[in-house]
Amino acid sequence: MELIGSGIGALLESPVFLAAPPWENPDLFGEQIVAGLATGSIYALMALAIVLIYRSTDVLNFAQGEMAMFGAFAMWSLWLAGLEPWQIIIIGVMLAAGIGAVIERLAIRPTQGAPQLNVVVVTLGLFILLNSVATWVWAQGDLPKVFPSPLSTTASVDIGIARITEHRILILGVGLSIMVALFALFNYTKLGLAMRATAQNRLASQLMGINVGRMLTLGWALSAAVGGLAGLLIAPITFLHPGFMFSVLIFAFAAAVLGGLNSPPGAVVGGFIIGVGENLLGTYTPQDILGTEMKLPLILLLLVIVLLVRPTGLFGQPEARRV
Amino acid sequence: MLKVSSVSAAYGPIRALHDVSLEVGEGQIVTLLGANGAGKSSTLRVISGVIRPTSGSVEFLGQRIHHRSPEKIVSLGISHVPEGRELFTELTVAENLSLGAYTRRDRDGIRQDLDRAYQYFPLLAQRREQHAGSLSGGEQQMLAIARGLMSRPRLLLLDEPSLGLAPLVVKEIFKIIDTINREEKVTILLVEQNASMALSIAAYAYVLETGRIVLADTGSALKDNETVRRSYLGY
Repeated sequence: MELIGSGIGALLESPVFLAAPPWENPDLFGEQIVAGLATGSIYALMALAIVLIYRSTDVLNFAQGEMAMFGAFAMWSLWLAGLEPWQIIIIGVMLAAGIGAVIERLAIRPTQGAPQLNVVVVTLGLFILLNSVATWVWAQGDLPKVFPSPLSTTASVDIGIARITEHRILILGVGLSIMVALFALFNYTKLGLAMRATAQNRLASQLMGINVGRMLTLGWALSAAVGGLAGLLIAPITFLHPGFMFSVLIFAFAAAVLGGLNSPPGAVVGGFIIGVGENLLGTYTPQDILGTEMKLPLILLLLVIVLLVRPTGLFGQPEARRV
Repeated sequence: MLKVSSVSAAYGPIRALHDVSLEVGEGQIVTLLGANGAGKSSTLRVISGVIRPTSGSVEFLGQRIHHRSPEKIVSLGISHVPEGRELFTELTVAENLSLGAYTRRDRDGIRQDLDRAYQYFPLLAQRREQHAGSLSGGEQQMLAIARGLMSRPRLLLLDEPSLGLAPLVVKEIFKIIDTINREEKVTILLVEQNASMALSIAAYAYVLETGRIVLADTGSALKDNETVRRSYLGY
């Protein structure tokens, strides 16, 4: 039962023995890189979700993972009710966007202008609320719950440099498409430009005739949809339980900080670095020294180091604030 | 064209405007003078809808607009170039200008106006792909004005366009303001601390003191007014 209860750790085909070095077994190395990129795209999506909200509303959304978890459980119910995985993904993303929009209007908007700490407490409160409700509604009987994928999570395909499971190809494909779509939205559309403007200067945006409130709601909806999609993509591998997004969120925070909290490209690069790094560490270090339990502390250590050495991250711009 | 009647406004418990009334006629340049904190910027903010008056009314082209949202007021034809310029410093010059036309749908008209903005401000044309934050102070003020014109306003609210600029640049900015008024037929309500410059181009002027209008007359008459001379012109 290697998959049960180990959350993101189940992503690794944890070898009991120390793996042969890359020059002796290049295939294994290639496989670990590709699998790491797949996991990395999940981290990148979650990190993007965090960065989108941080840039537009200055809020570090600690509830990002629980919003995705909540949506995934709701979709699990729809699957039990007989819907197809593809339908579930579409409905799930729309539901997540709706949750994001409602949270912005009801919980975040009223705290605007209040001290930063108030907003932190609100997102922590949301974290606990969503987690408790999900536990109350769905976490009965055996945990974790199996979550469906439209593709197989075990059958693998040879893509030339490595063998990779069909579901991981789906993760990579959807992940990369979302990143390209977001890039196009922000750089080539009027709506994207207005969202970037709102993130930079609300007063000026208002004076340009931009409905600032609508942009903030849209930003949260978009971010929740991206995060929710990440949750739906990873759930078939990790399975569902109320804490299944917790470690994903920590890894995504690390990715966002590594890349630079106000840089979307940074979030993507950070996500891939963390995903691949996690896989290589798991493969090439002895399990009794750096087991699954030590991964989170290691990532937190990386966070501290980045914050000490380069607080703006790899791609972040130092923020100039007028006081 | 614009009629502000007995407007009062407050920021929380602090009252910023007391019973302010003023009028701007079509095609005019009207200036609003006063010291720091006299309520000049607040008056403009009430007109552009950024703050709501606690009492009184604002009429524009016969419509009451003081309960309208800022985005609605922009599309009615009022453009507000705020104090401190408030550019999108991390966006390019071209992006700043296209945001100025955010409420418009006529692509061809926007393109024409963009070309015209670059004709008026050739320096901006050279820097169109640069970040607004990398421009000099004078260029930034020109960009702020050009961005304000991109919504094709009937009335332009200019808040302290000379702030922090070298005297030569100030002269140039005022020349541009005068040209915009005469050639583009844009009515202008100008807030300034540089009273002598403002009075030299304004048809009519109001003086604000601690949130109240204390003087109102033609530009040339106020230039000769004893109090204005001593308090605002400094001779």
